Amino acid sequence: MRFYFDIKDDFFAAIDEEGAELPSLEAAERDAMATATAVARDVFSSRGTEVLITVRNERQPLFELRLTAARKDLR
Amino acid sequence: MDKAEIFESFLKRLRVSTEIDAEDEAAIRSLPIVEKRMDGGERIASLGDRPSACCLLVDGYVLRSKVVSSGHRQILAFHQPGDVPDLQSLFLHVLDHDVTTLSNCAVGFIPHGPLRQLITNRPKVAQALWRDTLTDAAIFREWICNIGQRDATSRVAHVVIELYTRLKAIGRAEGLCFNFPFTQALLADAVGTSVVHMNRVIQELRGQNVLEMERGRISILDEAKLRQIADFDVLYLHLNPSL
Repeated sequence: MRFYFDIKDDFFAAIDEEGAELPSLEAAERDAMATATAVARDVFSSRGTEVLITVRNERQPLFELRLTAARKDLR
Repeated sequence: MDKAEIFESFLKRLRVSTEIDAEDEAAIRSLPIVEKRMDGGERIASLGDRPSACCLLVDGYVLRSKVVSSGHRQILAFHQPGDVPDLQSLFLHVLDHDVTTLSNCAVGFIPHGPLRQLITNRPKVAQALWRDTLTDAAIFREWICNIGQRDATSRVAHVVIELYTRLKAIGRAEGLCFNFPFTQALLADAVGTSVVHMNRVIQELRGQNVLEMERGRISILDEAKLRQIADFDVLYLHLNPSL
């Protein structure tokens, strides 16, 4: 199965034109999470607040994964 | 290929970074060497092996890597013509990682016996190889900093500018371009992130007009900016022995 991972964050949007061959939807979910956390490490430490990964196959969007940095002042 | 050609990149590299004389060079050229052509993706030596010869890379690229228990591969180093990726096997008898061809390669295997004899007889060659091993360690230290502390864009930029700088030192870069059989998966394993993340990084570098990577060829479009993004300081490559 071929999956495409589009990444959008505060600084950049990357459309995946190549895609990746993966054995299952679960594998795509694992890859999406690994990527989201890796991208978030860089984006959040540069004061970005959101990473959005949209996963598609050739026909349709399948799911999106959103990581948000939410700061709440407690003083 | 004659023996002078086989040893040329190796000698060129030693000349750049160490002080060997004409007699040392002649002694290196007279080492017995068994030539071999290899395809990309072939194992030169694997973890647990006990090599009886060191592998001199004459043409092409080699990588060193290790697979951890989760199955993920970490690339430890890329090697270019003139490198001896498994030189450590001369003294550390059991290999602790894998050495694999990355592209079609011409390699030469130098048996350990004559190589040991050479460094016993010629202290300056021994010093040159020792210095080479120390430089190798300096590159590993830089990779630790790279993977541990820099963001992904900076990490990729650093790997690219390191490859370019080392290739330029042996006359294998054409202007700001060089051939390198990269894939996103390869770079991802070298900088410790996912293939999907790599796609974002490469598109970002391309979008900033810093770098173009296409069909096994890397072109640097803005060297100053790439250096800055990479946080690159050439010092750790120790290319100048007079410093």
